[in-house]
Amino acid sequence: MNSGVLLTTGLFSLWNGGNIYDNAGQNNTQQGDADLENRVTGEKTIDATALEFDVFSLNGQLELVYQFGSEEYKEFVGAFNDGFMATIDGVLVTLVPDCSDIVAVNSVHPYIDASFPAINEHLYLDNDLDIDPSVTLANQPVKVEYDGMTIRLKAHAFVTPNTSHRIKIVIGDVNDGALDSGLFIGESSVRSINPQP
Amino acid sequence: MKAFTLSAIFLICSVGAENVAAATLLLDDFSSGGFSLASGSTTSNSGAFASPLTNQRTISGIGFPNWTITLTPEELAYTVDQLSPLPGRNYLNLAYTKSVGTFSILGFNAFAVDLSNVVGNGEFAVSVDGSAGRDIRVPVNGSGALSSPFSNLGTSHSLDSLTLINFRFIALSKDFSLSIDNVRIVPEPSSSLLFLLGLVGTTLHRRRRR
Repeated sequence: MNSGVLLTTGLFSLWNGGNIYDNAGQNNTQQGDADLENRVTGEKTIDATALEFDVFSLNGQLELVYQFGSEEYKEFVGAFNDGFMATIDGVLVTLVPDCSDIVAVNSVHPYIDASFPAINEHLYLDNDLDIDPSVTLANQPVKVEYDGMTIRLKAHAFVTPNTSHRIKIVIGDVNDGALDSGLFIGESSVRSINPQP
Repeated sequence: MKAFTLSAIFLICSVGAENVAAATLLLDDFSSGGFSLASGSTTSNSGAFASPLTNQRTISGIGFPNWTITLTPEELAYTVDQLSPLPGRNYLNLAYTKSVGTFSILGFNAFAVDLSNVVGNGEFAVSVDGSAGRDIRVPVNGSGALSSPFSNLGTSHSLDSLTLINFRFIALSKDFSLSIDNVRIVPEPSSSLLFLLGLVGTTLHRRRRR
């Protein structure tokens, strides 16, 4: 993803410097998002960042392209479930491709140990320097500070055509603000598409 | 007449006391099973576990780098030998959940545990549905009984329809270790007082009859 919007729970500057630190982030001590807690994280969120807007859809489908990254990977999988969500008219649309789960640290990760086997690993890009010695600053797959990321994912929803729809996108730290997470939304990726061939 | 009134009060207290005594809930004395967990290998143990309120128990070690957890039939021990570079991110998590339906902790007042072999400094936090991260922590800096009142819970969730109680022991020093036993829920002080009154009343009543 070369351009777009970044929503982060801490520092914006972590997006393109490569992975230099294992525990990067900034606690901004800002409020969380109750909707995100109730629907995704299940625990207290802080440093939430939200983008909310209306779109007018000419067609019957809406989509957006995104990538989620987090410094919580992989040491804190199972403990600090930083997450995000996008809703269209209140319906959660940022799910894994088979719609079986949300997208968050605890639901997209590689094998950690016997307690935390891989979940949706095919959606995960490892960017962790400390744990995988073969990954270096020069060859890391993603030039961001986050220790792990999802691949580029697409959210999709059927909507009523020729009407306005409310989109809310929000990301938050869970339990503490120590390590950052970020959500990249692709430029011009929020779009109305025509289901007709 | 006065003696009769007193006896009647004592009798009421005694009846109340039986209910209260039965209501002090021991969730876990760690008498069954034995295993060990460690950072870098297996970090949690989860399985069916019958307690008065819940039916599942998960014991987890969270954080990075080094810690160990050992369960013996006597106690649950947690040891940290290197503190996480991030404060508050090394902890032992002890979760009791109910997979189907809900349970109530109304009529109680606090969560309590018995601690021994405490070294270093840490914190104790209890959470229930919707409260994780908002709960007020209690300092752990010595052995003995440690309690956390329900007023420390940071939830607006009704306490009569819960699915989760989560006990967390957070390492704040790199030598933090402790042994845990008798995880329980204790009744409200007023109920405890009633229990004691009932006990005293019953004793006095029996002495008078002699």
